[in-house]
Order: sequence, then structure tokens, then C-alpha cells
Amino acid sequence: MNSFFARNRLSAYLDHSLPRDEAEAVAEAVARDIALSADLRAMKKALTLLQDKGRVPAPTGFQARTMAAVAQQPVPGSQVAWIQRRLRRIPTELIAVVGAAIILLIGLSGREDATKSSPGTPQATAPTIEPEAQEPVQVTVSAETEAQTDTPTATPSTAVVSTPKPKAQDKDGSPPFDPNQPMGFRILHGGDQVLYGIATLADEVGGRVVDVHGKLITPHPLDDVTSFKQLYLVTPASSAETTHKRLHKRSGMAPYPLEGPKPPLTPGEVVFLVEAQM
Amino acid sequence: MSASQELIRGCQTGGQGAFSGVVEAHKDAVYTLCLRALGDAERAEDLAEKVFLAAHQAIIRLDPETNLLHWLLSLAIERVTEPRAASTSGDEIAVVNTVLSELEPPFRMAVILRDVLLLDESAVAEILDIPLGTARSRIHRGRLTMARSLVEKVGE
Repeated sequence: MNSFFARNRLSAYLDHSLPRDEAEAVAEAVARDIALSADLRAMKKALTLLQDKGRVPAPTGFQARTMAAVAQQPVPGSQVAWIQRRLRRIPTELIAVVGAAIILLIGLSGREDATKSSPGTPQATAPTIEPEAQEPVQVTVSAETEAQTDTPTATPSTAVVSTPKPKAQDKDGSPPFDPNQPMGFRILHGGDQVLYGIATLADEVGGRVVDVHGKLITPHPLDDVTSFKQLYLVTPASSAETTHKRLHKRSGMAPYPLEGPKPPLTPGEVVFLVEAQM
Repeated sequence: MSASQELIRGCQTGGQGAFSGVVEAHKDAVYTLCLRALGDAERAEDLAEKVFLAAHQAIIRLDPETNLLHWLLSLAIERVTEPRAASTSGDEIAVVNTVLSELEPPFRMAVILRDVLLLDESAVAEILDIPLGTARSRIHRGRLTMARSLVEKVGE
């Protein structure tokens, strides 16, 4: 065995995980190559140092401090915990509310102007802003699959979509997938790059990542300011079961029934809610 | 039922008292990983506490078959930021922190899991969510880089 191959086996050699003949070949190479021998000695020394000095006990009082912090947290799964999660989203929602208020004020001022110009016909000056203000409400009635939607593109003939039947039990332990019951998944680990992971999953299953209005979301790193993101993964019905399993594996937690607003779907699509937190 | 399963099920039915058992069982491993990854005791303690707080919120829905230690370590790894430059005081602990902090994050994590926490290669692969061959390669390259760095700092 030459030095190059032997060097690539030094780690396994030290772990005693090489087959006997291969270990002997590495030992021979080490014996005749000074540089290789130096690498082996240095690696042994580094491992000894790490194994002897690397592990340290948690500081005194760590457990008590941690449990005190835990005690101040709401009970997991409680309404308080639910509210706290939503409170973290206030900055985004606040901006939306302020924006809507500004639009409303502009609309009202326009109505006042129109009223001044034609005081006898107040109903005729309906502000044009109202349909916009109602858009989110229209979105919220969109259903989970095209079979149940009433979006303008749906026709009776396309409303029948062959979706997989719900299974009683999955072999890998994930909860059964029911195409008629959209689910939400919480992903509480994945670091700041978690949204890229979800976007990759969407690519792999032929789906897309959108907001509640159906607008495509560009993935970005989460940070301390935006550490939470709620998004929808829309997939073809044919890959929905796979997506369900992969999201469950990625989440590590049982999904929960998705209620409330959903993005508009086209025929043969299924939606999943993903709540990603850094 | 394994100890890990008992702890998870206990938390899912018994509340905060049961969670104390999780902290007790795994605080040293989680803190060690945080310390060796960050190279700073204060930040490591803060991070370890955050890991347990996140675990407390999530464990209620955790699959009881999950390896609890591996899950906690993966939560910690996902929250680790770049290490602060380690001190150069010259003692052995400082040397450990220094050589580890010089490794690229993927190699640093693999070496910490394998050689500090003494987990086997398949556990390293599982925690880092990478194939076994990739885990072996990262462990080897991390060790070799660290060994050469150590020779430069303290001699043979």
C-alpha cells in the first residue's frame, strides 16, 4: 500500500476498524514513510488530548438554572404557547395592519372628496379600495384539494382528482396520510437554512412553496429578527404521500390538522402547512 | 423500553418534573458539545440552556423511538454559530479549543461527536444527517487537520 492510500486509512487504523490485512499494510507503510509516521503520531496525540480533556461537566447550578427557565415557559401545546408563537409574528402582521390602515384612510379621504363633489349620492361613491381589503377573506375559503375548491379555474370535470386513499398505518411509523385532511408540520430545528431545505424538498417532489395567497416564496436564511416562518408546500397529489412522510421525518413531531386559511390550489394539488423556526 | 424512551414518554405524560430527568441525563454532553463548538464557556452555557428550552417545547410531540441524546445534540448543532477565536493561554483545554475552532464547521462537528463525545460513526452520521461514508470522511479529514495544527502549536 502506498503512502497516499495509507494516509487515508490512518483514522480507521487508529479506530481498529480496518480488516487485518489492510491494517498490516498501513503499519508497513507507516514504518517506511517518515511523514506518514509523523501524521500518525500527531493524530494519536490529538485524539488522546480530545478524549482525555475534551469532555467537561456542565457548570455547577446549570440544571437548576435551566429548570427555572423551563418553569417560566408555558406548558408545551397549551394555548399560551400557541399565543406566544403567534406573538413572534407580530412585526410582519403589524406592518400588514398599518398598510391596510393607510389604504383605508386613503380610501376614506377619497370618499370624502367625492361626497363633497356630489353630496346627494353617497352610495354612488363606493370606495374602490374595498375589494382589495376583502381579498384575504376570499383566500381563506380556499380548500385543501381541488376536489373541494371552488376557485374560478375549477370545472366539474376536473374537480374529481384521483388522490391516494388514507392508510390506517404506515410502515415507517409516520402518521397515516389522508389526502382530504391537510396537515401542518412544525420544524423546530434546521438552523437558519431551514427554508432552503423546504424549498429543496418542494423541488424534489415537483411542488412549490407559497404564502397564503399562493404567491411563491423565495427562501432566505432565518435570523434573530425573523426566526419564524409560516409557509405552504403545495404538491401534486401523486407525490403528496411522499411529501407527508418526508415532512414528518424532517419535523420529528406529530403533525396537526390544518385549519384556517390555505392558498388557492389548482386541480390535483394538495397543500401542507410548514411552521419553521430557527 | 430503553432509558431514552422512558424519558420521552415521561415528559409526554409527566410534565416538567420528568423533563428534569432529561436535563440531568444529558446536560454534560450537550454542554460539552456547545463548549467545544463555540470555544467560550459563557456562550456555551447560554446555548445549552436554549437547547433544553427548545427541547422542552418540542418533546411533547417527539417520536418516543427517537434517540434522545442524538436529538438533543442535533438541536444544539443547528444553533451553533461561528466559534469565537479561542484564547492562547497555552493550557491543554485552551489548546483543544483552539485546534477545534480552526476546523471548518462540518469537520469540527464530526470530530467533537466522534472524539470528544465518543459516539460511533453511525451516530455521527445520524446526528449530522449525512451518509455514513461522508461522516467517516469528515472525521478523518478533521482529525488529520487538527493533528497537524496541534503539532504546529505544541510540537511533537
